[in-house]
Amino acid sequence: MMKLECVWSKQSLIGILFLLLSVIGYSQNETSKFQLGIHSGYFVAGDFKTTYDAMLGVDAEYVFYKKPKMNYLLIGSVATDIGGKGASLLAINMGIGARYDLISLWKKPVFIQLNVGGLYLREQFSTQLIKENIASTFSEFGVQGAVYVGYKILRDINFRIGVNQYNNKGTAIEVGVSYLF
Amino acid sequence: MYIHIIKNEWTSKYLLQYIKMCCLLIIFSSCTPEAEYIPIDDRIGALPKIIIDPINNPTSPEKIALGRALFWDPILSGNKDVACVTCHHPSKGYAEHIDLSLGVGGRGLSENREGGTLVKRNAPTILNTAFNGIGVTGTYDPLNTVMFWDNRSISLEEQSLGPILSMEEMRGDVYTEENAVAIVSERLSDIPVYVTMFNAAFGTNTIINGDKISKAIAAFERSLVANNSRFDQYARGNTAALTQEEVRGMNAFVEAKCTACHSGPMFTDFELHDLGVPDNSKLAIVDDGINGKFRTPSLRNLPQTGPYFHNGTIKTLRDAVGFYNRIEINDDAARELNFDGDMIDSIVAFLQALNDDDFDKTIPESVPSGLPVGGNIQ
Repeated sequence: MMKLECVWSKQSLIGILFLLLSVIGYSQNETSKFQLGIHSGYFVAGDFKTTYDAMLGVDAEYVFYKKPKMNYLLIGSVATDIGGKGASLLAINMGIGARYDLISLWKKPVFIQLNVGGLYLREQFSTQLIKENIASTFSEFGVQGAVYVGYKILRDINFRIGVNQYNNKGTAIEVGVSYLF
Repeated sequence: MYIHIIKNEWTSKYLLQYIKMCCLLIIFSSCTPEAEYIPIDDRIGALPKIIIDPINNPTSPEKIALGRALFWDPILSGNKDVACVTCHHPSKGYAEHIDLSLGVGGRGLSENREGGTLVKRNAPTILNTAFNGIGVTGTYDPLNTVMFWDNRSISLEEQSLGPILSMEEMRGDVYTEENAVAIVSERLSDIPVYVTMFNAAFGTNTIINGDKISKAIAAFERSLVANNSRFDQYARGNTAALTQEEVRGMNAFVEAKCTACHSGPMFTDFELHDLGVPDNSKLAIVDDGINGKFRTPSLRNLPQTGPYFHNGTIKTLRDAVGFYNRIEINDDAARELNFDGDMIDSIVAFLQALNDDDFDKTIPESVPSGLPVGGNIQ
Protein backbone atom coordinates (compact mmCIF):
# COMPACT_ATOMS: atom_id res chain seq x y z
CA MET A 1 0.00 0.00 0.00
CA MET A 2 2.81 2.33 0.94
CA LYS A 3 4.52 1.57 -2.35
CA LEU A 4 1.40 2.50 -4.33
CA GLU A 5 1.06 5.77 -2.47
CA CYS A 6 4.66 6.62 -3.20
CA VAL A 7 4.27 5.89 -6.91
CA TRP A 8 1.13 8.00 -7.07
CA SER A 9 2.90 10.85 -5.31
CA LYS A 10 5.84 10.74 -7.67
CA GLN A 11 3.66 10.81 -10.77
CA SER A 12 1.57 13.63 -9.37
CA LEU A 13 4.66 15.55 -8.50
CA ILE A 14 6.10 15.34 -11.99
CA GLY A 15 2.73 16.17 -13.53
CA ILE A 16 2.31 19.26 -11.42
CA LEU A 17 5.85 20.35 -12.19
CA PHE A 18 5.19 20.24 -15.92
CA LEU A 19 1.88 21.99 -15.47
CA LEU A 20 3.51 24.71 -13.48
CA LEU A 21 6.23 25.15 -16.05
CA SER A 22 3.75 25.38 -18.89
CA VAL A 23 1.65 28.13 -17.38
CA ILE A 24 3.86 30.40 -15.38
CA GLY A 25 5.11 32.11 -18.50
CA TYR A 26 1.76 33.84 -18.92
CA SER A 27 2.08 36.03 -15.91
CA GLN A 28 3.53 39.50 -15.90
CA ASN A 29 4.91 41.65 -13.11
CA GLU A 30 7.30 44.55 -12.87
CA THR A 31 8.04 44.68 -9.17
CA SER A 32 8.66 41.09 -8.19
CA LYS A 33 9.73 40.38 -4.64
CA PHE A 34 8.88 36.70 -4.46
CA GLN A 35 10.24 33.89 -6.52
CA LEU A 36 9.10 30.28 -6.65
CA GLY A 37 11.02 27.70 -8.59
CA ILE A 38 11.89 24.15 -9.28
CA HIS A 39 15.33 22.72 -9.71
CA SER A 40 17.04 19.48 -10.43
CA GLY A 41 20.61 18.50 -9.77
CA TYR A 42 22.96 15.75 -10.80
CA PHE A 43 25.53 14.57 -8.28
CA VAL A 44 29.05 14.76 -9.59
CA ALA A 45 31.07 14.17 -6.42
CA GLY A 46 30.83 13.12 -2.81
CA ASP A 47 29.19 10.34 -0.84
CA PHE A 48 25.79 11.08 -2.32
CA LYS A 49 27.09 10.28 -5.79
CA THR A 50 27.59 6.69 -4.61
CA THR A 51 23.93 6.32 -3.73
CA TYR A 52 21.92 8.79 -5.79
CA ASP A 53 21.85 9.98 -9.34
CA ALA A 54 19.91 13.21 -9.13
CA MET A 55 17.81 15.52 -6.98
CA LEU A 56 14.51 17.22 -7.72
CA GLY A 57 13.30 20.09 -5.59
CA VAL A 58 11.33 23.25 -5.11
CA ASP A 59 12.62 26.55 -3.86
CA ALA A 60 11.34 29.93 -2.74
CA GLU A 61 13.12 33.25 -2.53
CA TYR A 62 12.17 36.63 -1.11
CA VAL A 63 13.99 39.86 -1.90
CA PHE A 64 14.37 41.65 1.42
CA TYR A 65 16.75 44.36 0.25
CA LYS A 66 17.15 45.73 -3.21
CA LYS A 67 19.80 47.88 -4.87
CA PRO A 68 20.00 48.82 -8.54
CA LYS A 69 22.01 45.73 -9.56
CA MET A 70 22.04 43.72 -6.36
CA ASN A 71 19.27 41.80 -4.64
CA TYR A 72 19.57 40.30 -1.18
CA LEU A 73 17.43 37.23 -0.64
CA LEU A 74 15.95 34.97 1.93
CA ILE A 75 15.89 31.49 0.49
CA GLY A 76 14.38 28.12 1.26
CA SER A 77 14.29 24.84 -0.59
CA VAL A 78 13.15 21.26 -0.31
CA ALA A 79 14.62 18.55 -2.48
CA THR A 80 14.50 14.80 -2.74
CA ASP A 81 16.41 12.23 -4.71
CA ILE A 82 15.52 10.62 -8.01
CA GLY A 83 16.78 7.16 -8.80
CA GLY A 84 18.23 6.14 -5.44
CA LYS A 85 18.11 2.35 -5.20
CA GLY A 86 17.21 1.16 -1.73
CA ALA A 87 17.79 4.66 -0.44
CA SER A 88 16.08 8.03 -0.29
CA LEU A 89 17.31 11.50 0.53
CA LEU A 90 15.49 14.59 1.76
CA ALA A 91 17.29 17.93 1.93
CA ILE A 92 15.70 21.04 3.44
CA ASN A 93 17.62 24.26 3.22
CA MET A 94 17.09 27.79 4.63
CA GLY A 95 19.50 30.64 4.22
CA ILE A 96 20.37 33.88 2.54
CA GLY A 97 21.57 34.78 -0.90
CA ALA A 98 22.78 37.60 -3.07
CA ARG A 99 22.04 38.11 -6.73
CA TYR A 100 24.05 40.52 -8.85
CA ASP A 101 23.20 41.56 -12.38
CA LEU A 102 26.36 41.20 -14.43
CA ILE A 103 25.39 42.31 -17.90
CA SER A 104 22.36 42.85 -20.00
CA LEU A 105 21.73 40.47 -22.87
CA TRP A 106 18.86 41.22 -25.25
CA LYS A 107 17.67 43.73 -22.68
CA LYS A 108 17.44 41.07 -19.96
CA PRO A 109 19.96 40.61 -17.16
CA VAL A 110 22.51 37.86 -16.83
CA PHE A 111 23.10 37.44 -13.11
CA ILE A 112 25.27 35.58 -10.69
CA GLN A 113 23.79 34.33 -7.44
CA LEU A 114 25.40 33.05 -4.29
CA ASN A 115 23.44 31.20 -1.60
CA VAL A 116 24.52 29.98 1.81
CA GLY A 117 22.47 28.52 4.59
CA GLY A 118 21.66 25.78 7.00
CA LEU A 119 20.72 22.33 5.80
CA TYR A 120 18.76 19.42 7.19
CA LEU A 121 19.48 16.06 5.60
CA ARG A 122 17.63 12.84 6.12
CA GLU A 123 18.67 9.61 4.46
CA GLN A 124 16.76 6.36 4.57
CA PHE A 125 18.24 3.06 3.50
CA SER A 126 16.57 -0.27 3.00
CA THR A 127 18.64 -3.35 2.26
CA GLN A 128 17.64 -6.91 1.52
CA LEU A 129 19.68 -9.23 3.74
CA ILE A 130 19.38 -12.99 4.02
CA LYS A 131 16.57 -13.07 6.53
CA GLU A 132 14.82 -9.73 6.11
CA ASN A 133 14.90 -6.20 4.82
CA ILE A 134 16.60 -3.86 7.23
CA ALA A 135 15.89 -0.13 7.15
CA SER A 136 18.02 2.63 8.64
CA THR A 137 17.40 6.35 8.92
CA PHE A 138 20.11 8.97 9.40
CA SER A 139 19.42 12.65 10.02
CA GLU A 140 21.89 15.47 10.32
CA PHE A 141 22.23 19.23 10.14
CA GLY A 142 24.88 20.95 8.10
CA VAL A 143 25.52 23.78 5.69
CA GLN A 144 24.69 24.30 2.07
CA GLY A 145 26.29 26.63 -0.41
CA ALA A 146 25.49 27.26 -4.01
CA VAL A 147 26.64 29.48 -6.82
CA TYR A 148 24.60 30.01 -9.96
CA VAL A 149 24.72 31.89 -13.18
CA GLY A 150 21.29 32.83 -14.43
CA TYR A 151 19.37 34.63 -17.10
CA LYS A 152 15.97 36.23 -17.04
CA ILE A 153 14.58 34.42 -20.05
CA LEU A 154 11.15 36.08 -19.75
CA ARG A 155 10.00 39.04 -17.75
CA ASP A 156 8.93 36.77 -14.90
CA ILE A 157 11.00 33.68 -15.50
CA ASN A 158 14.56 33.15 -14.35
CA PHE A 159 16.70 30.30 -15.55
CA ARG A 160 19.84 29.36 -13.63
CA ILE A 161 22.60 26.78 -13.68
CA GLY A 162 25.25 26.25 -11.05
CA VAL A 163 26.85 24.13 -8.42
CA ASN A 164 25.18 23.18 -5.15
CA GLN A 165 27.17 21.76 -2.26
CA TYR A 166 25.25 19.65 0.25
CA ASN A 167 27.26 19.84 3.47
CA ASN A 168 30.32 17.60 2.96
CA LYS A 169 28.24 14.86 1.40
CA GLY A 170 27.66 15.78 -2.18
CA THR A 171 28.26 18.24 -4.99
CA ALA A 172 25.58 18.62 -7.60
CA ILE A 173 25.37 20.43 -10.91
CA GLU A 174 21.99 22.08 -10.75
CA VAL A 175 19.57 23.74 -13.15
CA GLY A 176 16.44 25.57 -12.11
CA VAL A 177 13.58 27.70 -13.34
CA SER A 178 11.84 30.28 -11.17
CA TYR A 179 8.69 32.30 -11.45
CA LEU A 180 8.78 35.85 -10.11
CA PHE A 181 5.74 37.61 -8.73
CA MET B 1 -6.48 45.61 -16.36
CA TYR B 2 -7.56 42.35 -17.96
CA ILE B 3 -4.00 41.06 -17.88
CA HIS B 4 -3.73 42.10 -14.24
CA ILE B 5 -6.86 40.11 -13.29
CA ILE B 6 -5.62 37.08 -15.20
CA LYS B 7 -2.31 37.49 -13.50
CA ASN B 8 -3.88 37.42 -10.04
CA GLU B 9 -6.00 34.41 -10.87
CA TRP B 10 -3.05 32.56 -12.31
CA THR B 11 -0.87 33.56 -9.41
CA SER B 12 -3.26 32.49 -6.70
CA LYS B 13 -4.22 29.29 -8.52
CA TYR B 14 -0.69 28.16 -9.18
CA LEU B 15 0.62 29.35 -5.86
CA LEU B 16 -1.81 26.86 -4.36
CA GLN B 17 -0.62 24.18 -6.79
CA TYR B 18 2.94 24.99 -5.87
CA ILE B 19 2.22 24.58 -2.18
CA LYS B 20 0.54 21.27 -2.96
CA MET B 21 3.60 20.22 -4.87
CA CYS B 22 5.85 21.07 -1.94
CA CYS B 23 3.66 18.99 0.35
CA LEU B 24 3.75 16.07 -2.08
CA LEU B 25 7.49 16.35 -2.32
CA ILE B 26 7.84 16.03 1.44
CA ILE B 27 5.31 13.17 1.57
CA PHE B 28 7.05 11.41 -1.27
CA SER B 29 10.44 11.71 0.34
CA SER B 30 9.03 10.47 3.64
CA CYS B 31 8.26 7.03 2.23
CA THR B 32 10.64 4.31 3.32
CA PRO B 33 12.51 3.32 0.18
CA GLU B 34 11.87 -0.13 -1.14
CA ALA B 35 14.86 -2.43 -0.90
CA GLU B 36 16.14 -3.68 -4.21
CA TYR B 37 15.29 -7.34 -4.66
CA ILE B 38 18.35 -9.53 -4.32
CA PRO B 39 18.24 -13.19 -5.39
CA ILE B 40 18.54 -15.43 -2.34
CA ASP B 41 21.92 -16.80 -3.39
CA ASP B 42 23.37 -13.30 -3.65
CA ARG B 43 22.32 -12.08 -0.23
CA ILE B 44 24.54 -11.31 2.73
CA GLY B 45 23.80 -11.77 6.41
CA ALA B 46 25.04 -12.45 9.91
CA LEU B 47 27.10 -15.43 10.91
CA PRO B 48 25.40 -17.95 13.17
CA LYS B 49 26.18 -17.75 16.87
CA ILE B 50 26.53 -21.51 17.09
CA ILE B 51 29.17 -23.63 15.38
CA ILE B 52 28.38 -27.04 13.93
CA ASP B 53 30.84 -29.78 14.90
CA PRO B 54 31.42 -32.71 12.58
CA ILE B 55 29.76 -35.94 13.66
CA ASN B 56 33.07 -37.75 13.94
CA ASN B 57 34.83 -34.97 15.83
CA PRO B 58 32.65 -33.47 18.56
CA THR B 59 34.41 -30.66 20.33
CA SER B 60 35.48 -30.62 23.97
CA PRO B 61 37.59 -28.29 26.09
CA GLU B 62 40.28 -30.96 26.32
CA LYS B 63 40.41 -31.39 22.56
CA ILE B 64 40.61 -27.62 22.02
CA ALA B 65 43.40 -27.34 24.60
CA LEU B 66 45.33 -30.12 22.86
CA GLY B 67 44.76 -28.56 19.46
CA ARG B 68 45.95 -25.20 20.76
CA ALA B 69 49.15 -26.78 22.14
CA LEU B 70 49.81 -28.48 18.80
CA PHE B 71 49.01 -25.27 16.90
CA TRP B 72 51.70 -23.38 18.82
CA ASP B 73 54.28 -26.19 18.97
CA PRO B 74 57.04 -26.39 16.32
CA ILE B 75 57.42 -30.10 17.12
CA LEU B 76 55.11 -30.67 14.16
CA SER B 77 57.76 -29.42 11.69
CA GLY B 78 60.74 -31.29 10.33
CA ASN B 79 63.40 -29.00 11.75
CA LYS B 80 61.25 -28.13 14.78
CA ASP B 81 61.37 -24.48 13.78
CA VAL B 82 57.92 -23.78 12.33
CA ALA B 83 54.54 -24.07 14.03
CA CYS B 84 51.10 -23.51 12.57
CA VAL B 85 51.06 -20.18 14.37
CA THR B 86 54.25 -19.06 12.64
CA CYS B 87 52.14 -18.06 9.65
CA HIS B 88 48.77 -17.76 11.41
CA HIS B 89 49.52 -15.57 14.43
CA PRO B 90 46.71 -14.10 16.55
CA SER B 91 48.39 -10.68 16.54
CA LYS B 92 47.97 -10.77 12.75
CA GLY B 93 44.37 -11.95 12.75
CA TYR B 94 45.52 -15.58 12.52
CA ALA B 95 47.09 -14.71 9.16
CA GLU B 96 50.30 -12.77 8.54
CA HIS B 97 51.07 -9.38 7.07
CA ILE B 98 53.36 -10.49 4.25
CA ASP B 99 52.46 -11.41 0.70
CA LEU B 100 53.92 -14.91 0.65
CA SER B 101 54.74 -17.00 3.69
CA LEU B 102 58.32 -17.85 4.60
CA GLY B 103 58.26 -21.39 5.92
CA VAL B 104 61.06 -23.76 6.82
CA GLY B 105 64.29 -22.06 7.94
CA GLY B 106 62.76 -18.62 8.41
CA ARG B 107 63.22 -16.37 11.43
CA GLY B 108 60.94 -13.70 12.80
CA LEU B 109 57.21 -13.06 12.65
CA SER B 110 55.16 -11.78 9.75
CA GLU B 111 56.64 -8.62 8.15
CA ASN B 112 59.79 -9.07 10.26
CA ARG B 113 60.35 -12.62 9.06
CA GLU B 114 63.48 -13.29 7.01
CA GLY B 115 64.98 -16.25 5.22
CA GLY B 116 63.11 -19.46 4.96
CA THR B 117 61.54 -21.28 2.08
CA LEU B 118 59.11 -19.24 0.05
CA VAL B 119 55.58 -20.59 0.10
CA LYS B 120 53.71 -19.85 -3.12
CA ARG B 121 50.52 -18.47 -1.57
CA ASN B 122 49.43 -15.92 1.00
CA ALA B 123 48.48 -17.38 4.38
CA PRO B 124 44.71 -16.93 4.80
CA THR B 125 43.20 -16.31 8.20
CA ILE B 126 41.99 -19.25 10.25
CA LEU B 127 39.33 -17.10 11.92
CA ASN B 128 35.84 -18.32 11.08
CA THR B 129 37.05 -21.27 9.01
CA ALA B 130 34.61 -23.17 11.23
CA PHE B 131 31.95 -21.71 8.95
CA ASN B 132 33.58 -22.61 5.64
CA GLY B 133 30.97 -23.95 3.28
CA ILE B 134 28.09 -22.09 4.91
CA GLY B 135 25.39 -20.95 2.51
CA VAL B 136 22.66 -18.37 2.76
CA THR B 137 20.42 -20.84 4.58
CA GLY B 138 22.99 -21.10 7.36
CA THR B 139 23.46 -24.83 6.89
CA TYR B 140 26.73 -26.55 6.12
CA ASP B 141 28.47 -29.87 6.55
CA PRO B 142 31.84 -29.38 8.27
CA LEU B 143 33.02 -32.68 6.78
CA ASN B 144 32.17 -31.70 3.24
CA THR B 145 33.33 -28.15 2.69
CA VAL B 146 36.32 -26.45 1.07
CA MET B 147 39.70 -25.32 2.40
CA PHE B 148 42.81 -23.65 0.99
CA TRP B 149 42.99 -21.21 -1.93
CA ASP B 150 42.32 -24.02 -4.41
CA ASN B 151 39.62 -25.89 -2.45
CA ARG B 152 41.79 -29.00 -2.32
CA SER B 153 40.69 -30.09 1.18
CA ILE B 154 37.16 -30.79 2.27
CA SER B 155 37.38 -30.23 6.02
CA LEU B 156 39.42 -28.59 8.75
CA GLU B 157 40.42 -32.10 9.81
CA GLU B 158 41.89 -32.84 6.38
CA GLN B 159 43.36 -29.39 5.98
CA SER B 160 45.21 -29.42 9.30
CA LEU B 161 47.70 -32.07 8.14
CA GLY B 162 48.46 -30.28 4.86
CA PRO B 163 51.19 -27.94 6.15
CA ILE B 164 52.83 -30.81 8.08
CA LEU B 165 53.24 -32.65 4.78
CA SER B 166 54.41 -29.61 2.82
CA MET B 167 58.15 -29.30 2.31
CA GLU B 168 58.00 -25.49 2.07
CA GLU B 169 55.71 -24.87 4.99
CA MET B 170 56.79 -27.23 7.79
CA ARG B 171 58.34 -30.55 6.74
CA GLY B 172 61.54 -29.38 5.09
CA ASP B 173 63.74 -32.18 3.81
CA VAL B 174 64.11 -33.94 7.15
CA TYR B 175 61.79 -36.77 6.16
CA THR B 176 59.59 -37.72 3.24
CA GLU B 177 55.99 -36.66 2.82
CA GLU B 178 54.90 -40.28 3.24
CA ASN B 179 56.67 -40.58 6.59
CA ALA B 180 55.82 -37.13 7.93
CA VAL B 181 52.71 -37.89 9.93
CA ALA B 182 54.13 -41.11 11.40
CA ILE B 183 57.32 -39.37 12.54
CA VAL B 184 55.43 -36.44 14.06
CA SER B 185 53.13 -38.91 15.85
CA GLU B 186 56.17 -40.71 17.27
CA ARG B 187 57.62 -37.43 18.48
CA LEU B 188 54.39 -36.56 20.26
CA SER B 189 54.12 -40.04 21.78
CA ASP B 190 57.52 -39.52 23.40
CA ILE B 191 56.33 -36.43 25.27
CA PRO B 192 54.40 -37.37 28.45
CA VAL B 193 52.45 -34.14 28.56
CA TYR B 194 51.10 -34.80 25.06
CA VAL B 195 50.23 -38.41 25.97
CA THR B 196 48.20 -37.09 28.90
CA MET B 197 46.52 -34.46 26.76
CA PHE B 198 45.63 -36.94 23.99
CA ASN B 199 44.19 -39.32 26.59
CA ALA B 200 42.10 -36.48 28.04
CA ALA B 201 40.85 -35.51 24.60
CA PHE B 202 40.24 -38.91 23.03
CA GLY B 203 40.08 -41.40 25.92
CA THR B 204 42.64 -43.40 27.83
CA ASN B 205 45.38 -45.36 26.04
CA THR B 206 44.82 -43.38 22.87
CA ILE B 207 47.25 -44.12 20.08
CA ILE B 208 48.60 -40.84 18.80
CA ASN B 209 48.29 -40.75 15.04
CA GLY B 210 47.48 -38.43 12.18
CA ASP B 211 43.75 -38.80 12.67
CA LYS B 212 43.93 -37.65 16.31
CA ILE B 213 46.37 -34.86 15.53
CA SER B 214 44.18 -33.53 12.76
CA LYS B 215 41.02 -33.71 14.85
CA ALA B 216 42.60 -31.86 17.76
CA ILE B 217 43.99 -29.07 15.57
CA ALA B 218 40.67 -28.84 13.72
CA ALA B 219 38.78 -28.57 17.02
CA PHE B 220 41.02 -25.66 18.05
CA GLU B 221 40.69 -23.94 14.69
CA ARG B 222 36.94 -24.40 14.90
CA SER B 223 36.98 -22.46 18.19
CA LEU B 224 38.56 -19.40 16.52
CA VAL B 225 35.40 -17.54 15.75
CA ALA B 226 34.76 -13.84 15.22
CA ASN B 227 31.05 -13.70 14.51
CA ASN B 228 29.94 -10.51 16.21
CA SER B 229 31.15 -7.78 13.88
CA ARG B 230 29.15 -4.57 13.74
CA PHE B 231 27.64 -5.84 10.51
CA ASP B 232 26.51 -9.03 12.30
CA GLN B 233 24.91 -6.88 14.99
CA TYR B 234 23.19 -4.79 12.30
CA ALA B 235 21.92 -7.85 10.46
CA ARG B 236 20.55 -9.20 13.74
CA GLY B 237 18.46 -6.06 14.14
CA ASN B 238 20.64 -3.42 15.82
CA THR B 239 20.39 -0.78 13.11
CA ALA B 240 22.53 1.62 15.13
CA ALA B 241 25.52 -0.70 14.78
CA LEU B 242 26.54 0.68 11.40
CA THR B 243 27.35 4.28 10.55
CA GLN B 244 25.76 6.17 7.70
CA GLU B 245 28.84 5.69 5.52
CA GLU B 246 28.96 1.98 6.28
CA VAL B 247 25.30 1.51 5.37
CA ARG B 248 25.94 3.49 2.20
CA GLY B 249 28.88 1.19 1.51
CA MET B 250 26.74 -1.87 2.13
CA ASN B 251 24.17 -0.63 -0.38
CA ALA B 252 26.94 0.14 -2.86
CA PHE B 253 28.43 -3.32 -2.27
CA VAL B 254 25.09 -4.90 -3.13
CA GLU B 255 24.35 -2.46 -5.94
CA ALA B 256 27.71 -3.13 -7.58
CA LYS B 257 26.94 -6.86 -7.50
CA CYS B 258 29.98 -7.72 -5.40
CA THR B 259 27.60 -10.26 -3.89
CA ALA B 260 27.71 -12.29 -7.10
CA CYS B 261 30.74 -13.94 -5.48
CA HIS B 262 30.99 -12.45 -1.98
CA SER B 263 27.64 -13.65 -0.66
CA GLY B 264 26.26 -15.45 2.37
CA PRO B 265 27.32 -15.00 5.98
CA MET B 266 30.98 -15.54 5.09
CA PHE B 267 30.85 -13.18 2.11
CA THR B 268 32.09 -15.88 -0.23
CA ASP B 269 30.53 -18.39 -2.58
CA PHE B 270 33.49 -20.73 -1.89
CA GLU B 271 33.83 -21.15 -5.66
CA LEU B 272 36.92 -20.83 -7.83
CA HIS B 273 37.24 -17.73 -10.02
CA ASP B 274 39.83 -16.28 -12.37
CA LEU B 275 40.21 -12.55 -11.78
CA GLY B 276 43.53 -12.13 -13.52
CA VAL B 277 45.38 -11.17 -10.35
CA PRO B 278 48.94 -10.11 -11.29
CA ASP B 279 51.66 -12.68 -10.66
CA ASN B 280 53.89 -12.23 -7.65
CA SER B 281 57.36 -11.50 -8.98
CA LYS B 282 58.95 -13.38 -6.08
CA LEU B 283 57.78 -16.66 -7.54
CA ALA B 284 60.04 -18.32 -10.10
CA ILE B 285 57.14 -20.36 -11.45
CA VAL B 286 53.75 -18.79 -12.06
CA ASP B 287 51.11 -20.12 -9.69
CA ASP B 288 48.18 -20.96 -11.92
CA GLY B 289 45.88 -22.33 -9.20
CA ILE B 290 43.21 -24.49 -10.82
CA ASN B 291 43.33 -23.35 -14.46
CA GLY B 292 44.01 -19.84 -13.27
CA LYS B 293 41.25 -19.93 -10.69
CA PHE B 294 41.37 -19.43 -6.95
CA ARG B 295 38.71 -19.56 -4.29
CA THR B 296 36.71 -16.46 -3.43
CA PRO B 297 38.10 -15.43 -0.03
CA SER B 298 35.92 -14.42 2.87
CA LEU B 299 35.73 -10.66 3.43
CA ARG B 300 35.60 -10.92 7.20
CA ASN B 301 38.36 -9.43 9.35
CA LEU B 302 40.05 -7.92 6.31
CA PRO B 303 41.75 -5.03 8.15
CA GLN B 304 43.74 -7.61 10.11
CA THR B 305 44.54 -10.01 7.31
CA GLY B 306 46.14 -8.08 4.45
CA PRO B 307 47.87 -8.14 2.02
CA TYR B 308 45.19 -9.48 -0.28
CA PHE B 309 44.46 -12.04 -2.96
CA HIS B 310 46.05 -15.49 -3.24
CA ASN B 311 49.57 -14.18 -3.72
CA GLY B 312 49.36 -11.08 -1.56
CA THR B 313 50.16 -8.71 -4.41
CA ILE B 314 47.58 -6.12 -3.37
CA LYS B 315 48.75 -4.34 -0.24
CA THR B 316 45.84 -2.27 1.00
CA LEU B 317 42.14 -2.83 1.35
CA ARG B 318 41.43 0.24 -0.75
CA ASP B 319 43.62 -1.08 -3.55
CA ALA B 320 41.95 -4.47 -3.26
CA VAL B 321 38.54 -2.91 -3.82
CA GLY B 322 39.92 -0.62 -6.52
CA PHE B 323 41.44 -3.66 -8.23
CA TYR B 324 38.01 -4.43 -9.67
CA ASN B 325 38.02 -1.10 -11.48
CA ARG B 326 41.11 -1.67 -13.53
CA ILE B 327 41.62 -5.33 -14.24
CA GLU B 328 40.63 -7.26 -17.30
CA ILE B 329 38.28 -9.70 -15.66
CA ASN B 330 38.25 -13.23 -17.04
CA ASP B 331 35.45 -14.50 -14.85
CA ASP B 332 31.78 -14.42 -15.89
CA ALA B 333 30.45 -13.36 -12.49
CA ALA B 334 33.10 -10.71 -11.98
CA ARG B 335 32.61 -9.34 -15.49
CA GLU B 336 29.10 -8.32 -14.59
CA LEU B 337 30.29 -6.04 -11.83
CA ASN B 338 28.67 -2.64 -12.00
CA PHE B 339 31.59 -0.98 -10.34
CA ASP B 340 31.93 2.75 -10.01
CA GLY B 341 35.16 4.30 -8.83
CA ASP B 342 33.33 6.63 -6.47
CA MET B 343 32.01 3.65 -4.56
CA ILE B 344 35.42 2.59 -3.30
CA ASP B 345 35.58 4.63 -0.09
CA SER B 346 32.08 3.64 0.96
CA ILE B 347 32.67 -0.04 0.23
CA VAL B 348 35.94 0.02 2.16
CA ALA B 349 34.11 1.57 5.11
CA PHE B 350 31.54 -1.21 4.95
CA LEU B 351 34.18 -3.93 4.70
CA GLN B 352 35.84 -2.58 7.82
CA ALA B 353 32.55 -3.06 9.63
CA LEU B 354 32.91 -6.80 8.96
CA ASN B 355 35.82 -6.84 11.38
CA ASP B 356 35.37 -8.49 14.77
CA ASP B 357 38.35 -8.05 17.04
CA ASP B 358 36.95 -10.22 19.82
CA PHE B 359 38.75 -13.52 19.35
CA ASP B 360 41.32 -15.56 21.26
CA LYS B 361 44.63 -13.67 21.13
CA THR B 362 46.26 -15.37 24.10
CA ILE B 363 49.77 -16.70 23.68
CA PRO B 364 50.82 -19.76 25.71
CA GLU B 365 53.86 -19.34 27.93
CA SER B 366 55.24 -22.71 26.83
CA VAL B 367 54.44 -25.72 24.70
CA PRO B 368 54.68 -29.37 25.82
CA SER B 369 57.76 -30.08 23.69
CA GLY B 370 59.72 -27.34 25.46
CA LEU B 371 60.60 -25.82 22.07
CA PRO B 372 60.24 -22.07 21.45
CA VAL B 373 56.56 -21.13 21.46
CA GLY B 374 55.45 -20.67 17.86
CA GLY B 375 58.82 -21.71 16.42
CA ASN B 376 61.50 -19.25 15.36
CA ILE B 377 59.32 -16.17 15.45
CA GLN B 378 61.21 -14.07 17.97
